[in-house]
Amino acid sequence: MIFLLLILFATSAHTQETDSITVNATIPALYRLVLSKNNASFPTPSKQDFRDGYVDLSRGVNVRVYSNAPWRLSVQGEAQSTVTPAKSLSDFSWRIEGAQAFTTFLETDQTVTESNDRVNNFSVPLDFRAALDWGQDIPQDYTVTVTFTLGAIP
Amino acid sequence: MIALLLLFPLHLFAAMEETALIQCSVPQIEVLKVRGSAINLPDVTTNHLQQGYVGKNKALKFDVSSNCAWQVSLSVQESDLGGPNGYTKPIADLKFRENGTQDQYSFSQQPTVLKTSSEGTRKIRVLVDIGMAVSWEGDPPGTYGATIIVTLGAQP
Repeated sequence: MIFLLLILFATSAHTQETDSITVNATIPALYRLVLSKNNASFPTPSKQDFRDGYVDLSRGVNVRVYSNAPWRLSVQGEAQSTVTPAKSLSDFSWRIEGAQAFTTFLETDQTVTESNDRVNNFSVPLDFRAALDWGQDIPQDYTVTVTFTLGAIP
Repeated sequence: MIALLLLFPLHLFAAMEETALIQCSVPQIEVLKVRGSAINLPDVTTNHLQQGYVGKNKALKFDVSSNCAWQVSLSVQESDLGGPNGYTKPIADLKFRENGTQDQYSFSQQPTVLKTSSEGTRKIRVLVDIGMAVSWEGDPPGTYGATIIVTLGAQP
């Protein structure tokens, strides 16, 4: 007589195993501006410039704007007061290239342009103008510090 | 005289043969354990937007044990990464690669094979770099996310 003892050891088969995890990322409102140059010089004023009462610097700087949220580009100026006689900040003005009128610099922020669009390398070229006066502007270097600010639209 | 005849059933004392056959059927066994509870990618900065990518190396860690050739696949549960004000970031912007390798893949709801082994292994740890494509024009401020599903199975 043959006894057949069959011990079958088995568990239910697994065909696959899964597990999960969440991944998160937060993107804040981000702004970046890049100036084409940090120093810009007006052409040396000519007699004709003095007759005209101004000298222009076309595309004195190109501001490149990057933003993933609605943005505003502002500008303000500060005249260097170490020279005598100092040239008034109001003698200097700016405009977006192609615009009709120049806007006089102030020591407070003025809006250059703004947009609700997200932008990548949006270009804002600016012209500058310096008023000239035969009686005021003695030969010397005059400097204005121009500060650009890129941020949210309040 | 009484004759006593004992008839002895000799066959009852013949050698007996008994065979025990012990069989153990080992099934396909796989164990997968994802480590950690959530993956938080680094705070996005202007540099990330310039580079077009934010990532975290070894962000996803899991352990694999299997007694047969196996493969691990990654997928996501959602069809997009969510976003603010009706904007939805494409799920393909979420990327992964095995740490230390060059091949990078985009997540989708369909599993993509990350790693295979031609033999069983005992608790090896797999490290995965997780990242996300980002851009100035494409990504408004907001929180984005998805559920990563890790699947361990036998090689087909």
